[in-house]
Order: sequence, then structure tokens, then C-alpha cells
Amino acid sequence: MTVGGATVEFEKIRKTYGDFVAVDDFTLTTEPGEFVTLLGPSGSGKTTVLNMLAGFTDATAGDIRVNGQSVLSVPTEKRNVGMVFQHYSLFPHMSVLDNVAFPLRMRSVARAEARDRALKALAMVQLESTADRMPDQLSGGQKQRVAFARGVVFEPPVLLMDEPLGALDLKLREAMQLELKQIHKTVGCTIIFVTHDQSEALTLSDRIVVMRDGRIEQVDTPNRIYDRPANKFVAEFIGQTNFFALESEPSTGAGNLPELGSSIPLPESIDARAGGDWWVSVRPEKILRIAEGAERGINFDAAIDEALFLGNEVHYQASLPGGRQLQFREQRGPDTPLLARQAAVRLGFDYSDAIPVADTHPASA
Amino acid sequence: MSRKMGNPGSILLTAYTVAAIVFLFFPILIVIPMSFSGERFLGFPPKTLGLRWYMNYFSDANWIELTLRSLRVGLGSSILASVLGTLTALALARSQIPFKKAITALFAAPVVVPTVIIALGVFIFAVRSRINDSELTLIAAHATIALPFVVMIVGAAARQVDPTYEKAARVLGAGPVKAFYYTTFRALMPAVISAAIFSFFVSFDELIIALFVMSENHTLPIRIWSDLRFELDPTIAAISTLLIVFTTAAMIVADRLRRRSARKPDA
Ligand SMILES: Nc1ncnc2c1ncn2[C@@H]1O[C@H](COP(=O)(O)OP(=O)(O)OP(=O)(O)O)[C@@H](O)[C@H]1O
Ligand SMILES: [Mg+2]
Repeated sequence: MTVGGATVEFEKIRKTYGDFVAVDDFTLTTEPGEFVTLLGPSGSGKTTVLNMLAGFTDATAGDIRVNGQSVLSVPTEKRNVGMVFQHYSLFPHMSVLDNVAFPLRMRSVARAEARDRALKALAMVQLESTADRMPDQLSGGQKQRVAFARGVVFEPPVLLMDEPLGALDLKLREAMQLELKQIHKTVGCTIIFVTHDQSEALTLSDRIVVMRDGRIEQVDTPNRIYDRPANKFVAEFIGQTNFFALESEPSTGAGNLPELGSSIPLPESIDARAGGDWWVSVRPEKILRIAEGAERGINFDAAIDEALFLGNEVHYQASLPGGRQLQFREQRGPDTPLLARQAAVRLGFDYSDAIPVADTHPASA
Repeated sequence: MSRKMGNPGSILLTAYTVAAIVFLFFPILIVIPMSFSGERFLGFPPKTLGLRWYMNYFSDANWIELTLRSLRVGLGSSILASVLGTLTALALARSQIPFKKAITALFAAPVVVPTVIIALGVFIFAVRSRINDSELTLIAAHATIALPFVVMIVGAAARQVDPTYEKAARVLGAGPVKAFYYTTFRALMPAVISAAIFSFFVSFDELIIALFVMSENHTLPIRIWSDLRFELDPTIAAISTLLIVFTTAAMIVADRLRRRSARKPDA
């Protein structure tokens, strides 16, 4: 069951409830077969975007096109998109097989053929053996895998998933992420996936759309989002990071980091030169313990507060002489000593690891 | 159960419970043995046993006619109340209409208003519009007093049905009607049937409105009531016994269904 995925275009989509703006200026074009994740805190409008594509909610303004055709006036059942919900939405009074065959039966596929195709879809999630069970005889993970099968059995060019793994525990969630990748590879449809779990987004996606308050903050590949966050919000939302205040000096083109008592050169392109609320983001794994004489771009002294031993890695919390705290990580081999509390360390990072980010407010974003 | 039965409070409570149960079941305990009496007159306890009063009921054309009428009226008002009540319950559970609380309360009104008042209202209206003594009028009147029960029973079930199911059905290719049928309606079925059974009995043993409206075309409760006033015919004990069995069985089924629909499905 391989289908080409569709191109989905959102053009300046806006959704308001009374005076409240739930989604604004949402513009995005997916590649066919792409796995795009909408990521953002609760209330940022992710579900609203999916609902407008599925036809559960009308857009206030803008257009949504699938393979070039506007779908806004097409009723939900004719949009031919698959959908998997967070809360298991298998029909409780139908057997697993009937659930999976449902979309086919609604498309007037003959009973025998529907059965065959439903069984094939169940085989894809390794659940053919449960075909005759009722949904309440399945575990949470199994229910969600059946929901995947039901969502793709009719070979929709687009599959929408609204936090499909949100109700599962961590371990199961990781296993299901792998399974989901497999399904995506087999089926080849375009997937628009919603989560507020950033690590899930990083693992699964071809591209991530970071949302805040109904607006897109950044659209990029997972590694670009992680390495080159567009602003302070994105840097903070994705992964862990340390922020240091950045004060620019227009005359020299340098940026001062008063907390660290040093400065970094600012590239021409950075707006920080024009003023505003700017910071540098430095990921914990980029801050390294340095030996005497092996100074890096920025160097400073700190004292260890806390060490979290994780086997191959140690997570440290340290404070600067002024009391400001920061996080850093250290890969360790068999001989790497564990730093004790209060231990004095010299730390440093390269200029290129200090990413200037602005603290933009959503209204002016 | 750490406390023993010995303390005066619990003895009193036990005595009260037993008394209450005896009081509630007393008529049944008298009526059932009496219906199997072989005697010519109503008496307790019966001296000889037999089925003559049951035969008497089944061979009396008038009893059968009235029974069939009450069944028809019961069925008619049950269907009417179930359909209207289910639609009302769904509207109240699903839509964002203004004054929802007030409207919900309004639908409970027929339970609070004394039946005599309703009967009087229906009577005046029926006589003026020349539709008294009609089964259809009685069906409508009985549907009115059954409606609150349907709205309550189906409403409780409707609030348990997650609208996500219907959305899921839509996006998987079902039109609005099919999506409703395969999800919400299926989930509400037990509650609707339970409410229908309940409505049937609200009508089937209703006396007061029937007395006002049906001057010629009597119903089963009317004849039971009028017979009891003039003669002590053990046929009535036989009918009552049949009714008790029939009602109990139906109520057990209805309650099972209601419970099933009130349980939240976790699938
Ligand atoms: N029917 C509605 N009426 C009014 N406001 C609504 C309605 N539906 C959603 N909203 C608002 O729109 C905003 C976006 O909601 P949405 O459900 O899209 O968020 P989300 O990003 O999916 O959040 P979550 O991660 O919690 O699911 C929220 O502030 C929500 O309160
Ligand atoms: Mg949501």
C-alpha cells in the first residue's frame, strides 16, 4: 500500500473566535510525502490548524490547498485525509477488523475486498491476530496502532495525527515512534503531526513548525531548529540551553556578555546591532571544561553545584562567581573523574557556539 | 462491619428497613396468592387454588379490548416520547444554545406539575378542539408526561458519548448522517430503548389523564379502577399479577440497558 503523498499548502490561514485570534498568518507548504510536525506549547493553535485541514473548523481567512485544489468548501468526509486522535477513537461497538474496514466500507468497497485490505493494514502494525477482538480488549499501544492502520487503510495522500502518542508512557512512546517511522516509509503519505513533546518532534520530523500563540515562529529541519533557533522562544522550547544577556556595541560591532565579562564578535547580519532584547543561547554540550592554556573564544571560572551522573554522560550545574547558574554536560570515558560539589572549574565555549537570539514578543513577531 | 448488630441504633434501623420493605411489598404479597384463588369472591387467604380468574380475564372480550387499547396507547406514546426526547436530549447535550439551563429545567416540568392539573388542561383543550375520547389525544398527553424521563435518561447517556467518535467517522469518510448513526446513535441505543420501555409504562398504567380524556373508549387502568369501586372481582388480582410480572421483567431489562449506557466506554 504505497501512495504518493500530497502537497499541502496553507496560505495566510487565520482563525478567530470572537475577538480571540487562535491562528494567524499561518503559511506553509509541505513536500509530497514529507513528515511535518507542528510543535508548540498548549494553546498555540496546533489542533486548530489540523481541524481546519480536516474540515472540523472553518478558517476565518486564507486558503488551504491539497495538490493545488482548495479544500475549504469540501465537506470533511470528501477531503480524503486520514486522522489519528490523541484519545483512542476506535468505535467501541465494532471489532478491530470492522474499525479498520470502516473507511473502506464508507467508500463503498465490497465487503470481501475491504476485509482483505483491512487485514493487510493490520498486518502492517503486527496486529492481524487481534482482528476479531473488541477495542476494549486491547492495550493502549495496541489501540493506537489499530488507529494508525485505520487512518491509512484507504491510502489517503495526507495523514493528520494530533498527539497520537500523548496518552502512552515514555517507553511505549519511543517504541511507537519507531513504528510510526516505518509506517510512514511504507505508506509514503504526507504526515502532519502535532505534538508538544520537542524530543518527539526532533526524532520524527523532516521539518518542524514551531508555533506560539497561533503564529509560526520558525519552520526548519530538526537540526537547523536545534542549531540555529530563530529567536529566544525557539531556543528555549527545543532542547536545553543557557541564555546570557547580550549588549551590542554599535561602534565596534562587538556584543558584550556582561555576565561572563567578555564579548563576542557579532556578524554584520545580526539585528542586535540595532538594539532590542538580545541574548546568546549556548547549549549545555557546547560548554567544555578546559585545560590551562587551551583557552577558547569565551572563558570563565565557575563552581560546581550539582552533578547528575547518567553513565556515558554527566550533567553539571555550576555557578559563576556572581551567583548566576548554568548547565553543562560532559561525555565521559572510564577514566574521567567526576567533579565534586564546590569544585572550581574553568569553562569555555567557541564564538560559533554562541547563537544570538532576540526575545521577540508574539505581537511584533 | 466492625460494629456488632447489638447497638440500639442499628436494631432500630433494621426494624425500620424490614417494616418499609413489608409495607412496599404488602400489596404484592396479598394480590399474588389471591389471583390463584378457586373461590367465587375476593378473599384472603384463598381456600382453594385454581386458574379460573386468569381464564376469566382471557375470555372476556372487553378486558381484552381495553388491554389492546392500553398497549396501543402505551406503544404510541412511548415511540413519540422516545423520538422527541432523544432529539431534545441531543440538542441540549451538544449545541451551544442560549438559556440551556432554563430549557433543561423546563423539560422537567411535567414531573413537577400534579397529574390532575395536566389532566384538566388536556381535558379542556381536547373538548374545545373536539378531539377528546381519542387514542391519539391520549398518546400525545402520555408522551408529554413521559418526555422528561426520556430527556433525563438519554441526556445522561449523551453527555458520556465523546464527540470525537463522530468526528473520526466523518474524517474517515462517513457523511453526517452515517457518522451519527455509526457512533453516537449506536452508543445511545441502550439508553433510548430503556427510556422507551420506561415511557411505555408511564402510559400503560396511567389513570388520571385517561379518566378525563377517555369517556367512552376506556383503558385498562380505568376499568380496573371502576371495577374495584363496585365489586370485588378476583379477575383484577389475576390482571395485577400479570402486570407485576410483565412490569418487573421490562424494568429489569430497562435498568440493565440504562446502566450499560451510563458506563463510560474507555475504548
Ligand atoms: N471553540 C473554541 N472557542 C474559543 N476558543 C477556542 C476554541 N477552540 C480552540 N480555542 C482556543 O484556541 C487556541 C488554540 O487552541 P488549540 O486547541 O489549537 O491549541 P493546541 O495548540 O492544540 O493546544 P494543546 O497542545 O493543548 O492541544 C486556544 O487558546 C483555545 O483556547
Ligand atoms: Mg491540541
